[in-house]
Amino acid sequence: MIYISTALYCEAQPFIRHYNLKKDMIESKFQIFRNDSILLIITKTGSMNAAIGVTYLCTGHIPGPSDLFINIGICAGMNNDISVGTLFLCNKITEQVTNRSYYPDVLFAHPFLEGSIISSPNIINNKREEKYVNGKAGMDKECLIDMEAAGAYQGASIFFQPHQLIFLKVVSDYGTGEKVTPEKVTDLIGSNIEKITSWLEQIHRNCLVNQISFLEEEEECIRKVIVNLQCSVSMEHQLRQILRYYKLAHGSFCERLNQYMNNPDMPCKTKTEGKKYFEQLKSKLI
Amino acid sequence: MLQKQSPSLILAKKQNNLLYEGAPVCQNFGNKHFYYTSSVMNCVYDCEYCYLQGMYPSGYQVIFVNLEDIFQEVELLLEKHPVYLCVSYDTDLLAMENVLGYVKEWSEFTLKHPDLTIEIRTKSANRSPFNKLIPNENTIFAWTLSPQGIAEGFEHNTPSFMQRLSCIQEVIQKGFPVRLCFDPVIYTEHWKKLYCEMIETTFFMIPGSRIKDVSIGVFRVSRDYMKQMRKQRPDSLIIQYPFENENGVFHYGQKRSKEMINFIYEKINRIIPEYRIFVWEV
Repeated sequence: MIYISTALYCEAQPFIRHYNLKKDMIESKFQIFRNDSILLIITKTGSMNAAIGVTYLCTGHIPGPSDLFINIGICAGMNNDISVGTLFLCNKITEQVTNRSYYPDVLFAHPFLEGSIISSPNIINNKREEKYVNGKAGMDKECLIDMEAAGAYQGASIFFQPHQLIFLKVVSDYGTGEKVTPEKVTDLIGSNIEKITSWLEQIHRNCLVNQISFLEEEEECIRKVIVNLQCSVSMEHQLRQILRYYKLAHGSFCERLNQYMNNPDMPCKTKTEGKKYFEQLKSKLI
Repeated sequence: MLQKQSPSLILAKKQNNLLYEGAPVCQNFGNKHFYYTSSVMNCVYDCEYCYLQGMYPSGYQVIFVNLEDIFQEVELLLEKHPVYLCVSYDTDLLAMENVLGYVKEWSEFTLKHPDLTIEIRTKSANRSPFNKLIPNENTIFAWTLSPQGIAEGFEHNTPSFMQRLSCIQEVIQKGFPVRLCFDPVIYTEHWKKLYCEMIETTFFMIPGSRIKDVSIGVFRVSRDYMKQMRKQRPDSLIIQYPFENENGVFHYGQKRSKEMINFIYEKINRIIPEYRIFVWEV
């Protein structure tokens, strides 16, 4: 699954179109769009909203080790040499309020420019925050400014490893108070959509971890054992771990389990009897 | 795991706790004041069973550049009592010696402090640093040995069993004290055959009399670390073994652990006297 967070609908729109995402009508707290492999949340602007929104999304849909999180949106560029529409992959995120920095892992080769970003609680304009412009105040020349990355990072890092976190930002202005319309935002993100999505799909494939899951036939066998041996929850966990190991070592276990379950004593009449047979089964399998 | 394929190096200054008391799952080799320290976090190797995967949230190596602060804290401790210190638990210092030089620093520091004994645990076959080191009975080089089948299958990027043995031979010739660690012993279907052959080859190539001591221990790891390790390696045969949980420590269970330890102990005891074999008891 790829988890996407944006602050605004106009930032999300190119992804909704590209992936043909449908709005989840059950959700009322946030706008969430989805298909079988993408979950997209619109968090509204600001770090706090981003953190809450991302946490809300991930709590309802717990991510796994193969999943990716992407925060995408517009940002202000603090270097006039960088043209509007340039896409950056953020390798450092600094929360302006706390001056704390976070570092997403840049493990995968990518076609983007890399840059550091500062998450500010306010919209930056030249008059109010002149110190940022053109690398003043000891900041990186490529420094970008947004309002969500730090919050999104803090929310997502509870659920994802640093290498699963991706922060993509498109320069929309130079923080000098110029007007950026929703249509322009959609255009700026939309003009990068092919580049972003083809890269995402490629790295998502690289991220896939070999999960040892059970086939339907195997699940059926496991259920039969659980019923026949009157397994407690703890015994069921043990059984699944034993079978996971057995599968890695020897392949499918159905034949062995079925043989064992064909015992005339099955199903066990008491939990004590079940435990006795469970121990026997364990010793046969490991 | 992905970080291991695309590693970064982090330089940092270590603060606050610089020395730790030895953990109960670690062997103290009869030393009362047993400590360990991490001048480097994480390892260049990628062993599937390594507890570091469960201990650290990142696979990147962190080198602490303020070794002198750790030395200072050791000196303070030495004012109270002798110290036995493992300096290469959470990393492999010898494997990185050509870049880092910490083995030399530790060895020279130990030479100046007779009450300090250090252990440098390694799987490396890096013999070049020994040309610049002075043998010292208080600086013990401890090699983890695993059968070639285990090394090849589960100790990714490590030197082969024979490369390690050949390095040990040379190091012993130069007069350095060497410890052999058959720890962790890993269960596989043919473990008896694998470990039997390994022990025979080891003592065919290295005279037992030249070994300082030997440690034996089956694989064990804390429950919390194991949870992380299993998440990271869902397809690892040795991590997915259905271990038994005894007071928060996962191991192969009393019966299997004892069988494995007794088998290996009996083989080693033919060559090494009892008082020089240290066993981690389940």
